[in-house]
Amino acid sequence: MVNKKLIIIFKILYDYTMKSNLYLLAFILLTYISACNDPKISYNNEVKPILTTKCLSCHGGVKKNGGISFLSADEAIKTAKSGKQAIIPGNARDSELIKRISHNNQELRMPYQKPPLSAEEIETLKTWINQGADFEDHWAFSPPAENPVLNYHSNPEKFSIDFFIDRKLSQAGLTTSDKASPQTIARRAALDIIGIPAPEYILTKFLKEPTTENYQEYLNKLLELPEYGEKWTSMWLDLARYADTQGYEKDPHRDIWSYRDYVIKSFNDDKPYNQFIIEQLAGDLLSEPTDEALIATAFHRNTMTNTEGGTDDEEFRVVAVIDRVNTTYEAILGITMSCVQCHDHPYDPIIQKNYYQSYALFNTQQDADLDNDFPLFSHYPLNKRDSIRRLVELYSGIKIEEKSSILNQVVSQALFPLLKPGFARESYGTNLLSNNAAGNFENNAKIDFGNFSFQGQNSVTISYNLDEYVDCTLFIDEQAESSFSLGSNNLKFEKTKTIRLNKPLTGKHHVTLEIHPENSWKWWQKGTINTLLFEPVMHEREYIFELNRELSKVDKVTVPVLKEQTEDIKRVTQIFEKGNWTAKGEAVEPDIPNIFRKNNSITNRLEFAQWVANPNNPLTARVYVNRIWEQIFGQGLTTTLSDFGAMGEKPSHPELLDWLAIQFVSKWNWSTKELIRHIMLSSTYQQSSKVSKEKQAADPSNKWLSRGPRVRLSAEQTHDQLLAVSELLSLKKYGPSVMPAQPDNIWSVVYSGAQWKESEGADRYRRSLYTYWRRTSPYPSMVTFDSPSREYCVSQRVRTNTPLQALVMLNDTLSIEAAQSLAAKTLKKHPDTNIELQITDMYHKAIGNSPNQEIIKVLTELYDISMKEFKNGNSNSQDFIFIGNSNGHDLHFASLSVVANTILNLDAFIMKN
Amino acid sequence: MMDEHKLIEEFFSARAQNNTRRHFLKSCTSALGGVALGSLMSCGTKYDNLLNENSITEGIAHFAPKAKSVIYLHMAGSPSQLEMFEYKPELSKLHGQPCPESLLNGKKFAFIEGVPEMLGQQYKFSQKGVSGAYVSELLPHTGEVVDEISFLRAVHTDQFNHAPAQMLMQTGSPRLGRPSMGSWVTYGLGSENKDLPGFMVLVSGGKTPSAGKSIWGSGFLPTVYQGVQCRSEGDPVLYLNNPDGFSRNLRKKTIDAINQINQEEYEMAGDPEILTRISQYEMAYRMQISAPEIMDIDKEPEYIHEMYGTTQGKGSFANNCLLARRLVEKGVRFVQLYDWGWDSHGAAKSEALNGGFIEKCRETDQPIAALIKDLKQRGLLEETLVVWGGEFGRTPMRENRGGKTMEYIGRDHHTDAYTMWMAGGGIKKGHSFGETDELGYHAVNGKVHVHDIQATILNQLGINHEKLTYFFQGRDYRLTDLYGSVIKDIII
Repeated sequence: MVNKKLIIIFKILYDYTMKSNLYLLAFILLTYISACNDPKISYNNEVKPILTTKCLSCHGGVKKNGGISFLSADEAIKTAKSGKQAIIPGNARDSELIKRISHNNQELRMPYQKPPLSAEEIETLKTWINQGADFEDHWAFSPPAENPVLNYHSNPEKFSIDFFIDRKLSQAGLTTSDKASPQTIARRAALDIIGIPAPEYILTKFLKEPTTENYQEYLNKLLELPEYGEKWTSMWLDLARYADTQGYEKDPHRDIWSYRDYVIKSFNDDKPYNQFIIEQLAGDLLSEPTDEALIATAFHRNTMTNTEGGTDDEEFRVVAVIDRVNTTYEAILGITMSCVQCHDHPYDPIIQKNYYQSYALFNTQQDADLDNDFPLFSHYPLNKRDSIRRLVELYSGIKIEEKSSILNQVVSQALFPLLKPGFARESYGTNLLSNNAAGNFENNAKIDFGNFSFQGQNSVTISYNLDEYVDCTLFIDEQAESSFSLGSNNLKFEKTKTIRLNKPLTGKHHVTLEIHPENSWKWWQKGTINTLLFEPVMHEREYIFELNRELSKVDKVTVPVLKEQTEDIKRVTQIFEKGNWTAKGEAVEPDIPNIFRKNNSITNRLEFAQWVANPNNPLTARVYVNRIWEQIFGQGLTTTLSDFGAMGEKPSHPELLDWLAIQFVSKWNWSTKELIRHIMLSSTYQQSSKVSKEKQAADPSNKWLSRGPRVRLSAEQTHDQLLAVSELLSLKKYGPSVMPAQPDNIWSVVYSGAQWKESEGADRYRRSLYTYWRRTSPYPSMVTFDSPSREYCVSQRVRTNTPLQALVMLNDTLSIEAAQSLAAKTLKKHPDTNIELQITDMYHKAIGNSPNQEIIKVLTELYDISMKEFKNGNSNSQDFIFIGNSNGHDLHFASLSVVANTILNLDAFIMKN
Repeated sequence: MMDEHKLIEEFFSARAQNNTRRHFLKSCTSALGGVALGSLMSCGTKYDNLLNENSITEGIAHFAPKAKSVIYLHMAGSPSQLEMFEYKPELSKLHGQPCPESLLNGKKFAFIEGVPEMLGQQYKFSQKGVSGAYVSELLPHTGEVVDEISFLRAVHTDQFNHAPAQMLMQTGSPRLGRPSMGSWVTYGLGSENKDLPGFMVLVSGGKTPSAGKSIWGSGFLPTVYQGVQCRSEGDPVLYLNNPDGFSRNLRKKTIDAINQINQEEYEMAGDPEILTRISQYEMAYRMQISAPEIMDIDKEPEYIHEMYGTTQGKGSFANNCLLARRLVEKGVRFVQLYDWGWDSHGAAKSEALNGGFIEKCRETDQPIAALIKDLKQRGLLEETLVVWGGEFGRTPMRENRGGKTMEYIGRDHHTDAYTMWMAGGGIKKGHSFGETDELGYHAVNGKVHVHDIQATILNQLGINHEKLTYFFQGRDYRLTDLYGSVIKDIII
């Protein structure tokens, strides 16, 4: 019986596959199913799809032909230009909409000059209007809520990922697959958690005794590894459009890797996602920002800076602000706000004005497409902060709170009465250098050192290296204390100048130095102002010079950050008519889009960030949970990761998505690690990915998850895995980006002398997220594996399967080096000449499973062929082998390397399965 | 029972095909894309029927194409139309006079400041061919082929900086992130060659264009459509060469082994993606053989080398022109050439009209003429559209960077009117469209925009530029954005 039924379904499916498209079929089936089950017409499930695909392109947000739009209830029931009412709730017969879609006259029948609606569609609309034409909120615009039918609270134990998956599977007539082998699960989980195979010491216990407890422990150990943060940072860097260059034309270098390190550290600390978001959007506005929070704001300084001659800085500042708005909505909120730049949203109820209300939030920062990426935050690298803290505590005895605010200010206080510009509270019109001096002064440059407790100091000595004279004014408590001129004609020698204060200072005072060079100095002039020393030095503070000497050994780094304009010069935001930035219209104040506005209204970036990260925000948690799901299963519960609006794909498991979002926020406190742990503990995740023909036919895309994920590895995973299995990988963390081997002549950028200078030693073998990323010329093998070039936010990589990828895996220097290294390591471990054993060992190391007899046979034959090739001179082992100490004459090693190269190209290696 | 089995079998194969394309075509609604992928991925293997079937003809084009392939010669930096094709005797009469206010009002320049001087034409012009088109003395060879060409004399653009203008020219938008023209075309039409990518890029002049590699990137289209750069040094295509000491035969054997094991993996795991991988490894191997063959121009007869003026063993524009012909001959759909070094500001001798510019003309004149003649003698010109131009033009005024008279002679960027030309592929011969004022400053008639050029190129390939779309982030995108109309006047 069952068979017969299946056959009939197959027959229908088959017919449609050949003749028409599947969407139509799916639609008909859906319509059929829902009509049987529920007499009440659902706006979201049944009506909205019709309106969206058939009506809104002419009667939506952009075009409102005849003065009618079906985007919202308000607009749809109002009287149109014709004097008629398109929708009269409760009265389908008199509703103009129904008359026009079923009109006999082709000129009057809607959709105009397009195929008519089907009888079912017309019936659906009729019933819906008769039932009262209820325009429900779009599912993703209401917060994920308690499901009234399932009632999560009543019996929380009952609900799990598997519960929701199984429920849909049985509805679809499918069953789960067997559990995958422990080896497969172990490899899968390691690739998902740390992006590389698990270290032996973690793996062994689980494989020896693959119990549930041991699996749990295995996951926990993986989640605690610092490589976890590196793996998940890759995903976030695509969203943040992170790169090491400014982006346009010459595409010059930009120091912003501190941001990358911030993301790694945040994942490793399992920073709650809401905090992670608030820091990145508005860390600078927090009442007590930490270094991390300031560095986090570089998220939106990853926009590009145009340094091409003759460009209008304002134009490209505007471009950057627009990008910030679009990225915020795409990456974090999953709606296509970019549509609203020029006109009302065609499909979602968001009006153009809303765009500019969001724009207003990002329009009042100090950055302005300047070549030097001002404003910058000069700070100690994140991984040096602990030692700096300890240093300061040791010398000064000042206790520093673990989460104390900005380290610069702590150090500045500890060093007083020695002041260094690099620790200043604020600075304008000058660059702070890694040694904490200030240079590159613009006119009216200003260094605000902050407040200090004086104890009778009556002079200040300023040290500097300058080859021109500059006028300076020292301010104490906003009063000009003294004006003087600094300078010499030799840059090399540090000079000093001592200024007597009008009277000895005691108590708290605010110190500021203004610098007025005659012309803004050019960047190649290296003149600097180094320190201000108030005297006399108090006896008990002799440590200061020692501390200063120790601190000087650690270079500081800079990162571009967000910083608000002062109130008096804040930019006013006006709507750009039709998106044209030169056609400015109505002025607007910051706010969130109408559809999300309840009683709340927001006035600044921090409030906006808090709204985004609020548990009641309908989108934030859903979008994030869905992203994590996609990383693990290869496709989201909603497949359009960046579009949760009307045009986005509806979730395959809406209840699961909502349940996960609720758990994530309320139960797991926005913990990414908890989320990942729960997903991976599910039986759904642990299924085998093998698929029978029947299952492949019934669920080709594995939408219903009747089997485990089988997904091609990302560019990063592929690269890192090659290094890991061949034991080349360096696990060094953080720091400036590195340059691994790359083919010659890749960088040939105009007006730029920048060179790809191959890193030395372990830096050649770092994980790929540390690879130097130049936007105009990104690392070619990673682009081949679908890495975006990071000019703009990309929320979803397409996974292609191309011959160029094959060429990378076969021939790239790195692939060959990995193959030779894998062979060398195996030879070291098994120095005898049991070829089968050696091949088995390499295969096992690379793929985590033992090869079957057939595979061993194929690889052994290849080994024999290679031996012959090298012996008869067709291939030359001396030329081929380039690692180790002249092993080129060892034909056995060379042949084994050929086999290793083959293993590292197998589908089983390139796929997570 | 037999029937049932067969039915399931057939259904499976149909769905497998669907599934394989799913990754690429998730949001592609047009039949066009499906066809494109089929042919791009088709690899002549036993799985062909699985991966690539369904009527190439059904969706290949919106209407009958005039051209099968495109060779686009982009002179990066933007050559001076006033020293090449635009004969303006009135301008020369005004040489050295201050530029009238009316020409400067409301204009933005990259480097000109204050009131510059008018700059007369630096080289002599004479009429060529039956059509009598004016050509400067720097282009004697191009003069011989003007009867094959349609000139567009009043092209205009919106962008006056190189990077955004190049982006607008090649992707339809001045901002990064959109697919390039070649990507759109291969997405729409696929490649006719099973061993080579459908969109190949050749770069000369020593530098990548200002806009970087993204001008041949695939933007939001899948990366299968991105341009593949052929290189004159190192591997002809990145990663194409086997490692040192690794023979072609050994590579063949390793790929056989990989595919054999993958085949077994497929039988176990059932994922059709594995079949795709098998055929991609086969195509990689065929590319390894065919790409170096095509790129090895040494085998061309001597007279061909003389005709193009190639430099054997080195990368040059002339070599790239010859390569371009070889590629279209093999069915590559879109061949994009970039030649860098045309930014004749006059700030240095290398970028002066009385310096480097002469050299650039000399380097490109003969090979371009040779390309046209060579395509013609092989009967390929009819089906190959050749396009020539920069990202904008140059001012009739002399550049005065910093408000000073510069040592060398140059012109600044000019967006309002400049010259491009097209030949072959259903374009009128010996024709000219559009006209500028007597100073060559503004268009007087026949003004066309960059988007019109793009619409016309697609049109010649049988594609309606308004219908070649890709759904991305909530809406359909197309090469010509919301604009563009086919320049009917230059079409046969």
